Amino acid sequence: MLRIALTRSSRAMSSTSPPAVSESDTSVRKIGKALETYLKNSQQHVAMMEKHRADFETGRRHLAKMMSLDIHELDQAAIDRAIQYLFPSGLTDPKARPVMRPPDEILPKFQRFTFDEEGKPEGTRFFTLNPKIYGLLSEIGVKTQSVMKFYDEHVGSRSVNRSDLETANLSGSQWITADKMKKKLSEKFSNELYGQVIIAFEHLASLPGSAIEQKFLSEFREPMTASTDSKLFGLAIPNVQTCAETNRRYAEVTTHCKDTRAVVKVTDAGKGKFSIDGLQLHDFRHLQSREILLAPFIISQTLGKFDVTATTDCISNSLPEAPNREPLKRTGGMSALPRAVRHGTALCIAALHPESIEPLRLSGLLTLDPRKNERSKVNQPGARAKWIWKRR
Amino acid sequence: MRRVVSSAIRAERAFSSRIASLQKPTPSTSSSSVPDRATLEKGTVQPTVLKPFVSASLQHEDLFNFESAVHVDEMFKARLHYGHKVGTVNDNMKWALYGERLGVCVFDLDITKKFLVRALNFVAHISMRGGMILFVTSNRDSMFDVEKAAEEVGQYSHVRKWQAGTLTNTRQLLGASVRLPDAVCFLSTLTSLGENHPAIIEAAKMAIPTIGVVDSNSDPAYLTYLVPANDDTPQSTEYLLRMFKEAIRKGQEERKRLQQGK
Repeated sequence: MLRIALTRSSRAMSSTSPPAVSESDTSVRKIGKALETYLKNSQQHVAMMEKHRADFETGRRHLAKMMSLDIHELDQAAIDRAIQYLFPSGLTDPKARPVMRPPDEILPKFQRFTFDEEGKPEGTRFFTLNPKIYGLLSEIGVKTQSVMKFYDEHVGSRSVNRSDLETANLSGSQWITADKMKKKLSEKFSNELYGQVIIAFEHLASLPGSAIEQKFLSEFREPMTASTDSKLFGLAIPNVQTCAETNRRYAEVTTHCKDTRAVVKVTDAGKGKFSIDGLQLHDFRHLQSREILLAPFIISQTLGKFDVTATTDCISNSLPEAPNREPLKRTGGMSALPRAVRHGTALCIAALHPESIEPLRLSGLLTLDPRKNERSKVNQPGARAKWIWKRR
Repeated sequence: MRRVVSSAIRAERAFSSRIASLQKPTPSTSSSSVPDRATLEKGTVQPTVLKPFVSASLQHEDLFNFESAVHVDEMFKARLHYGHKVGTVNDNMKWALYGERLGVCVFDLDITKKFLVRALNFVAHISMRGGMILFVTSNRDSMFDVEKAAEEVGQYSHVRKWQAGTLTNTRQLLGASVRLPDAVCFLSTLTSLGENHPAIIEAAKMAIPTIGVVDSNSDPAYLTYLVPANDDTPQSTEYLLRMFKEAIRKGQEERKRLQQGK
């Protein structure tokens, strides 16, 4: 038993005071060894950082002198350029190259805890190692119990709103991602714990009567449409600009279909005029071309409200050709040229008329068609075709 | 007696703040209040020789008078006497049983009371000296109650998955060594798989005294203060938590009184 007592006295956190002390010592707060070490380490870290900061500042002044720059002109970008110039490095890994950055950015961070004056860590769940996320789990658990109780007490009674006894309305939103939750709680935790939290949330949200916790649940939801732009394949929706002369809003985008590149500009408050390489809609004799060109306007129900100006060319025309060859003079085809213009038009309409983003997206008009003519292979007549082979 | 004295010494060594108002003991050697080496060696065999070196507040068996606060009929109403099925009884828990009824073990509440009073006194002493108490349970039904109770009295709780090394390897897990709890209180000592809670061994390794509510099927090994009682029923957990909270509050009030009195 005594051995235990002695072991304990040598334990990190225990006090170093003798077992019985005089009365005057009771007022003095003895700090345990661990806290002492922690405070010492913390002070050392602060001193070390202070020294490195001073060194960095001195280094910056020297560098400014070497590069014959004013110290105020030497911002981080200028430092990076100077370092690259002074220490040219052939190393491929950017992390291996010489660097000069403020010490707060590159030196490891010191783990900070909050203690009270007796060295007690803050927070009742401190020893669970993940106090915030476990606190959230407990909060969800307590709310789940209260929702179940609320429903059992009020089902069939008229004392509460009918809508309160329903499940929470979570349509159009999703649970925030693990990274966002980590940021929100400012704590790191494993994916397993994130999964547990989501399961707990799903269970709470599925209960009848969870509508009373709607506000709590929506704190951890984010709208689904928030990331529509990034979901688009190919180009993003362009920004709306305003013409200085006519004061009309317009959007411009460059896109392509097959070999045809099209620069499309759609102007608001128009009359439905088309000008594609100077050609109007009725100049396209083939019905297919006209249908393709009008499709985004029909989908967004903005027929006759915008003007379209487009110029097209073929990408292969601008590619370098052998000197003995004639330069190519290709033009877009009956389908590819209108399709390139259509994609650009749809993107511009989405920019000018945001209500039509969803119908345009669902009809696939905002999606780039990435298909290209497959190159022919050496020793083959075409992309896939082979010369006839015959056994001799 | 052995346990009381040794825990008293431990408590004395563990806590920095002292009780000023209580009378100081008169050690055999008036020059020093620290036992000399010979006495310490003797104390390993016969702990009672160390009693004079323990402060006066710890000489008292029931300083906070829990004998009058704990009632057998209340414990009976809180269903503390129910054990598990006879077939599951642990050999080391038979001492606390009164008998069996309809194939279910029944605790002797007189024994339970004696041990509960002892545990509550220990908790109150820890609290009086500004110690940290960690409440641990793995019971899913009572976990929120335990967390709430611990929060109410400003103590710590752990009702989740026990990460191995939480007490023994804090430096690695937290990046710095921290002050460990001064006592761990288990509201149930078994995990859902019927195994001992891993924190029991860790606390024993770190020489942290433990209080354990042990049911008839629990293993009392490595626990310092036992409370033989039912640990599954919400009513019993509620009762025990109420008593522990009261003990902590009594200790805190005493501490405040001593600090103000100075």
